[in-house]
Amino acid sequence: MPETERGIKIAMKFAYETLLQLYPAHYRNLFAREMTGVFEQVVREYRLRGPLSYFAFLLMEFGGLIVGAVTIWTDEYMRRTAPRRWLSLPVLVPIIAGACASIYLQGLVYSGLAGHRPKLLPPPTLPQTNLQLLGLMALIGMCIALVSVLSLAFVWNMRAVGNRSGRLKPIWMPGRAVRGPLSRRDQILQRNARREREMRRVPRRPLGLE
Amino acid sequence: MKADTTPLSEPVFLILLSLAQSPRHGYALLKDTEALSDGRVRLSTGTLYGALRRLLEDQWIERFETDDTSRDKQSYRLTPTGRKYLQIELARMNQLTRAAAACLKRREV
Repeated sequence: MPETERGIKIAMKFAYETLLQLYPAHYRNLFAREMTGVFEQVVREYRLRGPLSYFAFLLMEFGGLIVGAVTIWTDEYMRRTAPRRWLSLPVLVPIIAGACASIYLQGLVYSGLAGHRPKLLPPPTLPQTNLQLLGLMALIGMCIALVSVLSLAFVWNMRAVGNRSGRLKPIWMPGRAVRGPLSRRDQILQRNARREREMRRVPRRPLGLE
Repeated sequence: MKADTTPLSEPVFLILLSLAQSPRHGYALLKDTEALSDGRVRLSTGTLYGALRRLLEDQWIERFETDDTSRDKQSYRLTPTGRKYLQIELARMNQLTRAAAACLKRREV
């Protein structure tokens, strides 16, 4: 085999193995050597078909590797973040509350804009009647109430997260998260996690006693 | 992969079809899928092994130990579950073909 051809072959294999590093470690352990073997076989075959076919094949192979890596990492991510975690109440409440607040406040702004005439701007006036004053006060009060609700929801969420992990303590309530009462569901989750850890632990055999 | 509801993708279908004949390793699968599709489907190794990983996870195929099995050359074969889902997919395609033929015939008349 001429030196140039051997050099190209080594370079292609190196490029392929480098792209394989994009995959998760467990996937590489399972398939990397096998994939490289198949790649080398197919490369040999395509080199005989001419430079254009060879180039197209390399493009397809490397592109396929990148797309495959993205797909596998997406799968991994979806698996790690189970849908149950996203559908829990402490996560959903702040999201829904935030969305409601945003819709309400935007509605106020846009409804105000609809009645606004840019060319004939009335001079800014203070509320003239008690009713207008009352409306303004009610609006400010509602905004403050909404902000309070959102803050409460956020704190509640953080407390729930802190309780669940048992390690993460929100800084504004030191020591509370660890000592805080656990819900029944969290107790079961902790118990299961402990069991799983114990099952994973390999029992040590006493040396020379068997 | 839920074959009860979702149709199989073409590469997965071809891989299953290829393995339905006999156990094969990666390179043979590449060649066979190309032959089965008349050269239309050319899988890259990334696509092939991505599909194989999913099929292994769903236990539609399994690794098959042969005399020359090494880490570089691993054979795969269809499991009974994989065969069942392949038959479901074939039945779905048959039904579609029949419906399409009936529609065309009605239009001609």
